[in-house]
Amino acid sequence: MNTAAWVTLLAPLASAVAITLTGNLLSRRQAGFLATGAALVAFGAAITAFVTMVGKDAEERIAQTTSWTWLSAGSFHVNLTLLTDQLSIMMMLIITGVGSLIVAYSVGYIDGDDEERRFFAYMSLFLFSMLLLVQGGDLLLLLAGWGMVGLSSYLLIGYHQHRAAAVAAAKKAFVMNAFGDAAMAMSLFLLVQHTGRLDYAGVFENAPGGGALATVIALGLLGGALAKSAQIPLHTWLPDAMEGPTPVSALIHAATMVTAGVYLIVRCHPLFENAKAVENLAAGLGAVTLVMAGLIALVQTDIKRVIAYSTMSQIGYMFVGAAAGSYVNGMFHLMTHAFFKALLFLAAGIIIHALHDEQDIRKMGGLGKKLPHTRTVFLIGSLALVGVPPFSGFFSKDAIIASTLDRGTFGLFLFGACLIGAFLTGVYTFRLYFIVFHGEQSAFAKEHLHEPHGRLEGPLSMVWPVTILGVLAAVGGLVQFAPVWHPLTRWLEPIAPSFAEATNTQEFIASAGTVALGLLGIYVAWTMFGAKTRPVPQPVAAFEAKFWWDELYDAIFYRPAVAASALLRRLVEVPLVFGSINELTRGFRIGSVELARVQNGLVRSYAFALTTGLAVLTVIFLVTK
Amino acid sequence: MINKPHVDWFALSPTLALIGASGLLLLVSVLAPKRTRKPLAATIAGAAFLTALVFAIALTDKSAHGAAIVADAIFRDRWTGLAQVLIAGCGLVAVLISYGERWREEHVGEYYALLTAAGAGLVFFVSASNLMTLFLGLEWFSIALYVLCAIDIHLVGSLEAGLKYLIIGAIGSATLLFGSALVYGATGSLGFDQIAAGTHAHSGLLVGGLAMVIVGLAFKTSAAPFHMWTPDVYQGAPTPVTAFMAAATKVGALVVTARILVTAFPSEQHLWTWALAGIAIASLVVGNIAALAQRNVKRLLAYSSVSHAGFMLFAIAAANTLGARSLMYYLIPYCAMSLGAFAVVAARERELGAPVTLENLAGFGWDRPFLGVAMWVFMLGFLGFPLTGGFWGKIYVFSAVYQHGWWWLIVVGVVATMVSAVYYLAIVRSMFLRDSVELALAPVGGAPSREVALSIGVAACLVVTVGSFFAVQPLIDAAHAASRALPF
Repeated sequence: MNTAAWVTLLAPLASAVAITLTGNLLSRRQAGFLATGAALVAFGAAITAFVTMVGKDAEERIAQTTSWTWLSAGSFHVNLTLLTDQLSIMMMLIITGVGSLIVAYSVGYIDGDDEERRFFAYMSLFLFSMLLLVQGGDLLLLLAGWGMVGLSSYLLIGYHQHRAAAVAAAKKAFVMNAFGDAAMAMSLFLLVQHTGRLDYAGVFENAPGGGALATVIALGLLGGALAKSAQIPLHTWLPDAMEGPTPVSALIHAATMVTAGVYLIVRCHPLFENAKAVENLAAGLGAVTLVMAGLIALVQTDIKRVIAYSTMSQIGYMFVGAAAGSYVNGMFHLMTHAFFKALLFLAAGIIIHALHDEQDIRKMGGLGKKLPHTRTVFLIGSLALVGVPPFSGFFSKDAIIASTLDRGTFGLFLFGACLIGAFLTGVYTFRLYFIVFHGEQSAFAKEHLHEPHGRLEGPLSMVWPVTILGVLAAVGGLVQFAPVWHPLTRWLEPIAPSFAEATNTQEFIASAGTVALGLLGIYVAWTMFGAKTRPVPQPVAAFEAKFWWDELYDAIFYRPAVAASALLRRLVEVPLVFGSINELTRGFRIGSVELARVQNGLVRSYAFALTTGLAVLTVIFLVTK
Repeated sequence: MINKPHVDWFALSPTLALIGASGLLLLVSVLAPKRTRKPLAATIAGAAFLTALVFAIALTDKSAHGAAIVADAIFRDRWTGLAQVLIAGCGLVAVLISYGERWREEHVGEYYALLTAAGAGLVFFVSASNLMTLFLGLEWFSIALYVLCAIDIHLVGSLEAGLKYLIIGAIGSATLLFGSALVYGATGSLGFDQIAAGTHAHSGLLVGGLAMVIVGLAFKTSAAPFHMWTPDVYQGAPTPVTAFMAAATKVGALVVTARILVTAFPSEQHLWTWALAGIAIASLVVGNIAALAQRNVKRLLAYSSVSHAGFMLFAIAAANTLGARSLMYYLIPYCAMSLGAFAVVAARERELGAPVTLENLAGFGWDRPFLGVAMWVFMLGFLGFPLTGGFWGKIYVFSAVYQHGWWWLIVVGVVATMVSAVYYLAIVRSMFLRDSVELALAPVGGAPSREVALSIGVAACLVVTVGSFFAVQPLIDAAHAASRALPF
């Protein structure tokens, strides 16, 4: 029995249930502390599980614990099984570690909101769902966690339920994710039908090794991954999801949920390896996404949307890494990205908080002097995001880019996209940084900037998580430096052995190219937005319109669906369905009344019914014997 | 010198515990001082059902190999054992529900004596292995129930219920008895095994007898068209009695129906499968349609029990092990949901001092959140929602029917379930979506204090209803072990 794993999973659930059930007995503050405490307990348990695992030999690290068998029919079993292995423990550490920092941050951020308790209950529920997703020992629990993550993100995005935009964004996220869930469920059904198993090992062993079926299965899984990770073409929900409170963006849309797609690819890599075409498709879509999102991010004016598009772009890198066969580097970038992107979101949250919920960067400017600490951590996050050594992003991103060089011609295409992405990252990240922090204070900022909380730039509970994340974003990448030391590779190798390994020369080429282009991007941003020596070019219409994806979906799904519904309503619903239902209810009502008439309360009619029934039965028996 | 048969006292222990308690309770009602009579009597009855429960569990555990015992009068096997566990459990919850009932007449001792006697009769009834013990058990619990229905003699409804039940019940019993006589005439034997073993190529006597036996048992199951007493009696009888009848009597009648048909009449299977399918469909149609028009909640639940009898008869009509297994499984959440639902009705009834209708249930869910949510769960369970055992019950019944090749019966069941949503959700709607303020109901004699015993009973039902969803595997395994006792 792996107690630590169970504690990790159940602590957030307990907190969600407790906050929900106690209602007003718990003060808003206490609810926040309870949620934070639960997340910290989960983190502590995850560390315990990790330490225990480190002490074991590599072969003994995979632990499955089944708490109970829910249903078993023949060889088909539905169990509640937790799988604790190198991969899931890494995800557990990221989710609970970054998660507890973000929940703690929320205590200060959401302070004063009317429904804080609901917020913290949702946060805890989300952590539980995410942990269920990564800890579940079979595909069914994975799907359950997958769906619950979608649900809790819906609840959190729409947390401000009185804002129409937030509700619309929540719905959009849910529908897109439901599409992915459905695709994924289909391929799980196929797997169950084909293998008769649900546990990972059994499924991977018996899954079809190639052909159309393997492709369809991998495609379904890819659909789920694309929706959850906001990759083209299922990406349009992520920018809108920025309507949720900022800690939600940090937790869901940077550190955890959107990376679930990467986790899925790494976890189910045998299924993807059986369908090479799908794997290349995933890498290709990742490459397209990372460039496209980078272009859109160039012209966004909402601070959170810039970071959101940058998230899409970075997850594109992870997709390239994971789908091109470099699982370790994909997971590595997932980890460092969790640090620096959560940092950027939370720092943005401090700015938004200080400016009375203003998110438009055109109104910001020169905030660096008033918020020096925030400026420092934001700079660290930005440098990590661009991949400037020695910040964390450098190590992970360059490793991904280097590994694409190991994939032949297709790899060159990926490599090119990655380099373009690196340049764009430099530009949009530092555009944001220079506009927000550099130069003279804007009129809006002068007027609206909060008085600092004592000596700090925000409530204590907001400042210290940001500081910790700042440190992690700065040094977190030192865990692995491909040419010199690779503990992460050794750690994950037994679960997902990479098949794309870069040589040292390739590492060097990739690093040099990426860093040079990143720095060039920063320089371009500096000339336009920092020093302002060069005019800012007119924004390209395609970037401003986000490449018309929303309009496209509107035209090919929404409008035809609405037209079809109107038609169906006119031709089928009203005359046929309503008509038949009305007639049916009328029929039932008449039947009901008639039956009540038979049921007249007289014993003799009851006896009559009984004897008639008996007579009929006897006659039938005698005739048909 | 008469040869005394060997008596397996252990096999009889659940029956003996209950009938012994019944005698003791009669003494209590005479000897105990009036003040202590109610708690004392309830405690003894509860202890008796608990003892019977423990014995029945032990008996189930120790009866892996079924056998007819005591001169082939009763069966000792897991089919009997599991049914006895269920009946004893129902009795225990019924005692908890009964405790807060405010009797107008001081005959609480007799009430519990009769309740335990009825329990003893049912526990004996499900172990019957020949037509004689079958009829003995049937009359034993029936007579106790006739009196229980009429025990509130100051209420006209209660008296009417008792009388109607008695008269119609007499016809039912007579039918069963006559059928037994015909079967005996045709085969010359009373034991179920011997009837099956006899050579008698479908004689008219036997077939006629079979029809009468089916009708007599269907009457106790309250399956249509033999159900007509059910709404009147369920509505008129004191609510705890109704709760006990709806759950425990149904267990007894269905378990025995399955047993006698499978054990004694395997060669007439082509007849009784169709007969039961027909009766089941009639029950679904009548129960569901009639329930739509009801405003009185007890009457509504009575029709609901008719329709559930239909579902459970599906399981028997399927005539396979899966069917037997699904019947046993279905009964577990069904008993919990029935008892729980009637318990909630009883609580509301005591609060209002008037019969509970859909109208005066308004706002109940907000006033009594625990009971309201519990009722909600029971209604969803009746509907067969996931997270309640009712879901698996329906799934298993349908798969048994499917295995028999009767997919069209599943269609009937699904349509019936859809229709039943209307009235089950109507109860939920009136509890939660209507405001109690606008009704301005004044409780008679002030609101009663919270009833701990009843709440415990409802909580137990809730645990079983929801628990049987999650613990489906162990329960279905137990039901599987029980169904092995039947010779398919």
